[in-house]
This record gives sequence, structure tokens and C-alpha cells, in this order.
Amino acid sequence: MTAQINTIQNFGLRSFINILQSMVKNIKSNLSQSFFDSASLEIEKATDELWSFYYYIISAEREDLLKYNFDNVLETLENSSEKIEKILSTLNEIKSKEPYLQVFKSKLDNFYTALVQCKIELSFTDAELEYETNKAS
Amino acid sequence: MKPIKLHKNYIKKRDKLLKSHVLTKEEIDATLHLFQNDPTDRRLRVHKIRCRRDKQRFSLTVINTQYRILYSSFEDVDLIVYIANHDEYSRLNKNC
Repeated sequence: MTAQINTIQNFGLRSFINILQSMVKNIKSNLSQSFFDSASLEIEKATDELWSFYYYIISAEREDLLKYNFDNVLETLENSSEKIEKILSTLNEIKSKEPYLQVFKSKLDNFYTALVQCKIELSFTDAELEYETNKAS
Repeated sequence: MKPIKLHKNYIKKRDKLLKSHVLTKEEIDATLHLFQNDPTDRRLRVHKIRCRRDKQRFSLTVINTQYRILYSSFEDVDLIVYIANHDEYSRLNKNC
């Protein structure tokens, strides 16, 4: 589990998203197709990491989850999803039909879905754990 | 009337939305007031969130907005957990 949380924090979700932001700002300059292809691959890997975190949370024993403080992870997920929303909105304004841009957008869209599901599931888990703990004590 | 309890994550997100003037305190307060007094009121569109695990998780609409308040319903309390915008909410049941 610690490894899963470290993945979210250290795999550099924040810096990864900052890179994405600057990419999209520069989207009208001459970014190459290979650049987007490579970014799409990285986003796909990041999405897989998020889903594996999600499945860990939904399948872990309550006792195991009680050991962790999820505040920082939740904050990271919240800030990240806000930024991705803005990036997706910027991408939607770009009229280009280039296939590599469409793939990039689709990968980013999946990434956003994973972010949202992780943060909402984690919010529920955190709240329910707190409720159950208070009730038991 | 079943009491409600606001979780810290909900409060954090709500305050962010209030600060950015996306929602007003009056809209949220009126919604939660109505929910406590008449959870069956159609304007709230209360319904169960159906997902992988069949838990007591529900959603209600902030009246006249696209925002949804997500909560866990326990025997003794409704625990308000999250407030989601339309885009977030539409992703909620994907891959369920």
C-alpha cells in the first residue's frame, strides 16, 4: 500500500501534469507527432498506475487502510483533476483532426476518468473509515 | 429527521467552489435543508450510485445546478462526502 501511495506522490503526478499543461500551451507551436505519440504512451502508463491504485483501495482490508492518512493524496488528485479539466477544455478548442492529437486527447480523457474515480472512491473510503472508527470507539 | 455530517473532504471542495463563485452558500444550504426535511423532494433527484460494490452511496442534485452532492447513508447519519461537477459526475459510473 505504501508503494501505491508513493506511486501517486512520487511518480510525480503534479510535475507530470505541469508538463502536460506546458505542452498544451505550446500546442500551436511546432510540436512533433513523435512528441505527442510519446506523451500518449506516458499518459497511458500513468492511467494504469491510477487504476491499480483504485483497485487496491477497493479491495484492501479496512484494517490495512486505517494505517494511512490520505489527505495529501486526495489533495494531489483534486488539484490534478482540476488541471486536466482545463487541459481537456483547451484541447477541445483545437480544431485539428490530426489522428495523433485525437489519440492524445482520448488518452488524456481516460486519465481524467481514472483521476476522478480514484479521488471519489478515496474520499468515500476515507469518510467511511473515519465514521466506522468513531462508532467503534 | 436523520442528521447529516459533513466530511472534511466535502468541506474543502465546497469552500473552493464558494470561493470561485461557482456555487453560492445559499444554494448549498437550501439543498441540504430540503434534503434533511424531505429527501424525497423531486428537485433533489436523490438516487443510489450503482457501482462495483453495492454500498449505501447516493447522489443528490444541488437544486437548479449541475452539481451533485455525494453521500454515504448510514443507519444513524448521512455522511456528506463529496461535491462533484457535471463532468466528474458523468465519469463516476464508468468501468463500474
